[in-house]
Amino acid sequence: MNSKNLPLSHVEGGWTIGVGWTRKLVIAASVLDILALLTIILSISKLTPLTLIISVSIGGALMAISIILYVIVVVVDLRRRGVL
Amino acid sequence: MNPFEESIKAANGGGLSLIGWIVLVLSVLCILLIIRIMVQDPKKTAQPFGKWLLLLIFFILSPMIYLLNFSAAIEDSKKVDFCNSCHVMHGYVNDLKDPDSQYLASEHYQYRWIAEDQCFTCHSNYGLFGNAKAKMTGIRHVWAYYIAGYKTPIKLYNTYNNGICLRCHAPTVGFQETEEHIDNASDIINSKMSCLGLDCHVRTHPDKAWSEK
Repeated sequence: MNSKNLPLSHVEGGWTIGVGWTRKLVIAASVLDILALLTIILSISKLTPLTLIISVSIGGALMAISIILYVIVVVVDLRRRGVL
Repeated sequence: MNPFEESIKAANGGGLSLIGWIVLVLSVLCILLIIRIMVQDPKKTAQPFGKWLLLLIFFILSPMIYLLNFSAAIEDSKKVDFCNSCHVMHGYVNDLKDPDSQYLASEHYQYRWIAEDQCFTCHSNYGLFGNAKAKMTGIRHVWAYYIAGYKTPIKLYNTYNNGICLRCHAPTVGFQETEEHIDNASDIINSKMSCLGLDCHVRTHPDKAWSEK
């Protein structure tokens, strides 16, 4: 057990990518980031007013959400490890 | 085949720009890396390498791709072909590219008085916020085109700003020495008098251009 009374399996690998709800968050962040990148690829390959606005607005929003989710994972992990 | 195809393509800025290629390659690379990390055994993804890689992708590469794409797309959206991607603009662009057209916009295009981004050059104000304002108007156009609808015949939102014409024409001696320009200088500068119509200059676009498919 560590200082936060969490099972060692939660801290052995460092971050908790492989464990519990934080892994789900990482997967969600990954999917959102992939979708955002796909909107960007779409606008690069066929630039029209619609694809431009989709990539800039929806793509940007998805990317921002994915970053926020990953920040949550990092913060949770650092707290588990007693860094924060 | 047109022997000048390559030159025409270069003049129109055709093909993907260097930034476009960088964005495309980085985007595909990021997607592949994310998938690779995600499909791995969860225990392996807890290794520092995978975590740092995801951190790099989420915090550095993805935002960088977004910003590069943003700047490239904003630049590419000035091109005539971009304006022509809405069908309501086809008539205007067809007239631009018609060598027999006598309309003012077409002559500016055919004789390359404006070398590139001809639509944008005449439809964006100069000054610090000219480009930004033009982009905001563009968003308004997209809203009208896809969602709110628009009335025909298409008209400008406001009186055309003669300052856009004067930016190129005012410094020329020929313009300065024309009697009509001198007599009406104040009204021309303040856009109270249009450069078009009367005995002055011909119209910019055909009246029915908006209805052409």
